[in-house]
Amino acid sequence: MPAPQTLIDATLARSLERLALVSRKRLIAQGQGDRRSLRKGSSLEFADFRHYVEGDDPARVDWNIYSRTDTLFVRLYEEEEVLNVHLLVDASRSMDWGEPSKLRYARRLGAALGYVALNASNRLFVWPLCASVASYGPAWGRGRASAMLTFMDEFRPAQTTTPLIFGHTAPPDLEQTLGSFTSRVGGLIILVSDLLSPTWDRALARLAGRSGDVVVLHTLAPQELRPTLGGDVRLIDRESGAAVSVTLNNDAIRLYGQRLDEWRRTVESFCARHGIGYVPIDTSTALESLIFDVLRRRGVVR
Amino acid sequence: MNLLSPLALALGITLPIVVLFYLLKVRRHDEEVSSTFLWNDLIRDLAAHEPLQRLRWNVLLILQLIALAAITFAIARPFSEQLGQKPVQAVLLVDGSASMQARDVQPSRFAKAVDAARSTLAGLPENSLATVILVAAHPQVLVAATADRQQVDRALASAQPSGAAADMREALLLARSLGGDPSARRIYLFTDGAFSLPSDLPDDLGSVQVVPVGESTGNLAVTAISTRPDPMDNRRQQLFTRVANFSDFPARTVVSIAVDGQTLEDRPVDLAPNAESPQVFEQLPAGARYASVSVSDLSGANGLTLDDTAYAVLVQRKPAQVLLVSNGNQFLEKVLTLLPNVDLYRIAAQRYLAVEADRFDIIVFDNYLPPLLPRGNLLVVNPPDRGPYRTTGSISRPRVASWDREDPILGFVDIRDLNITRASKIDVPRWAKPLISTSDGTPLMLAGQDGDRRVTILPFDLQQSNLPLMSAFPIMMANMVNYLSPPGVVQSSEIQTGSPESLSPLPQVQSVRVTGPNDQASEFRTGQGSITYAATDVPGLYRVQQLVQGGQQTVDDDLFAANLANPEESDIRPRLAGLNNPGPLDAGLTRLQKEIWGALAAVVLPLLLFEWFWFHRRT
Repeated sequence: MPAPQTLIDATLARSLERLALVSRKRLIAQGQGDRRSLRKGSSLEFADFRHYVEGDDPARVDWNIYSRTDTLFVRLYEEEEVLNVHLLVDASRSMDWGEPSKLRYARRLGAALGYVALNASNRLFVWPLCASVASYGPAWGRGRASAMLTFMDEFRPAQTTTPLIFGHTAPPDLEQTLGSFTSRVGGLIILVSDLLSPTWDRALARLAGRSGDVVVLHTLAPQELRPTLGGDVRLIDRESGAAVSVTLNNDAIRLYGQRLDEWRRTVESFCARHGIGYVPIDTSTALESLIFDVLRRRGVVR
Repeated sequence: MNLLSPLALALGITLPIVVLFYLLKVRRHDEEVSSTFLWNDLIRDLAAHEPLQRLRWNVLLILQLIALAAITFAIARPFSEQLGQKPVQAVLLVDGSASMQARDVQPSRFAKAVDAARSTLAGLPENSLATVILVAAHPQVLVAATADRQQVDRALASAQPSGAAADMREALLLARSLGGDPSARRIYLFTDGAFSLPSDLPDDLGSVQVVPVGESTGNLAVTAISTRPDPMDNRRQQLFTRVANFSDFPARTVVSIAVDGQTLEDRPVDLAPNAESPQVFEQLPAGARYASVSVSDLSGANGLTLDDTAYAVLVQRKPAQVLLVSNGNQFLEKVLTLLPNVDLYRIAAQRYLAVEADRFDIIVFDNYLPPLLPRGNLLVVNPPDRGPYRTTGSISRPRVASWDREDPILGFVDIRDLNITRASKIDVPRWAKPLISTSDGTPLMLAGQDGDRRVTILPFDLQQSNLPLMSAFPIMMANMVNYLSPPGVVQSSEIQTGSPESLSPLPQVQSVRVTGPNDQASEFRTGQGSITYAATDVPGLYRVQQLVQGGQQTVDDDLFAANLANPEESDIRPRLAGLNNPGPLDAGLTRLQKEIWGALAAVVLPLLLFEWFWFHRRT
């Protein structure tokens, strides 16, 4: 199926058809699907081995292993089930910045992952955070890919201008914007965000508290990772309008770099503690390279 | 405490300006970023240059204000008044005469004098001005009226004694002139006192303090040296010398003579106290260039070595090439033939134009003059009426009224009985000087330098006078030939140290190189006239080379000798009396303004260094 050129092209779409999303927690969902269930049982998809205990079906014993080790193992199989995939794309004003724009990058990444999900018969929800529209989905099946891509391309950030005066109109922080993620359905939650919000930890904790698997794709622009600013500047926050006056010399840039690394390590360890998958993303990385190399290695797709 | 430049306090306006800099906001340009979330935490660390509305005191500001206040105050030149010795104008005369090289005190009298001058300098009241004069053949002002003690010290360190006698009178007069106000002037003379006080010193020298160096010690010296051709053998030379014992004890000495560096004879000479002994050495080898005479002591003290050896140049003058242009004059022919150092050539007047006259040193024209005069020196006898030297009639039986006895041409010549039948009345050219004149001023003999040429004119016919028959004639002719003979480059073969030597290079020579006894060479480009060479302080032989082709080729190589040859200087025993008049050494007390900007500068410098360190420590 042709994909709109603006987000993913046909070549990428064809490549994506070979992929599937990976949920590290085996999720129970309703209905049959392509997803493996935690209820390991009799479907043909092999999942694991375990020692034989009394009462197990002798037909499941792996006699090949027994002949080599004199120990009885039984083969465990997974049942194929439908996986709910929630794609949470941060559309705050801070995301709409950078070269290339982080939001644009997030749209393309979300579109690619959504395409993978639809292809794998997952049930897909798209939740633009802090955007003009509420959500898309549920949708499943390849036939919905085109509508999903259109939605992904068309939602707009709710905040379009930078406040002239700090504190005049406070934009919602990340935790507050999660209020629009109203679904009570569990599943795989993929958050694409720069997390540039004071409440990033509370927001992640809230996601972790839900049933399901959470992956954070921490998206930052190269200008944030390696600032090229210099001299005496007044930095204006795009979201809040807050101003920070600073003299950017080599020492200041070095200090910023240290602070950034420290913060990313904090986020990563926070995620680890809360069972959240964490992938740091530099938007200067080609999308293909990110999906087929980084996300594969990190176990987000396979 | 007062200020010398109170207006400088206006610079204090810079203090509030500095504070203003700290109050001013830095002009910043706005940059929109995705979020200031990460930057907020950094503000604390980066706030060093944070523009502040309100003054925030920091170490840098305080240090800068203190430094600026101190600099402003220093520029205002604060001073405190205190009583102190009145500054004086000290003139330090350091005797640099030859006798100061005596080593009766170690390392030498001169070094001791310099040390004494340094001590005196250190003892001068604060803010005193010091002038240092090296007393030599010509006094040299090494440093004039300065309060910079280091400069004076450097001048003293660079001073060197000379090998010549010093002109003490000129030095004292110079000191009087440079010393300024007589009430503040203090003349210090650091000397061995081995000279007699000049008799014509002015009375207003003011305070003169003589600081003696050296001890009373004896000395042997060669005080005279001279050579002349041996009367028996014209090619050989005789050498006359005089050795002296400036001591109150008899001395056993050996006088040695060496020719061209080879010792010829060692002659023992006993000298009584304060006595001298003339010595003659005869039959010096022919062709030798120079001789040296040394006196060495077998018995006792010899304070000064500078005068133990004297040098003489054995002049070998080339015979003068003389062309006699005459239709027959036996007197001239005979006398010129007899004179030594003359190679005589004769030619009749009518054949004169057939010879190359320019190659002769002297041309004698007798009753004849060519229309164009040759380049050499001329003796013109009875010039014809029409010719280069104009005559206006003649005079009968002129009587000699006066003659110049001082002129070398008439040296040892008595012409009182000269009788002349008839003499031409010749117009005296600008360059000529009448040597013999009649009572009405008509010249009977003229001599002078006409451009490059020396000319002597006798405006009468020799055969019409009794001059050739007089005993004065051969002497006068010898003097005349000497006068007309081309001089060598060196005017005097022997000079006293410190005296200038006049060098007359040949016309074609481009430069003259003089190499002194210490092998130090100086080269001079030749121009118009002669060169005066004055660096003759060191006794010994000086080599004079006349160079062409850019100094590559030597056309003439001459010598001259500089000798101390000064008994006054060789007598190194102190005998100065009557000059010491120290006067009141203390010029009295006065209120002195003691400036303290130096101390302020000493505070500011480390303060600024610390400020620099503090600034870089933080960034």
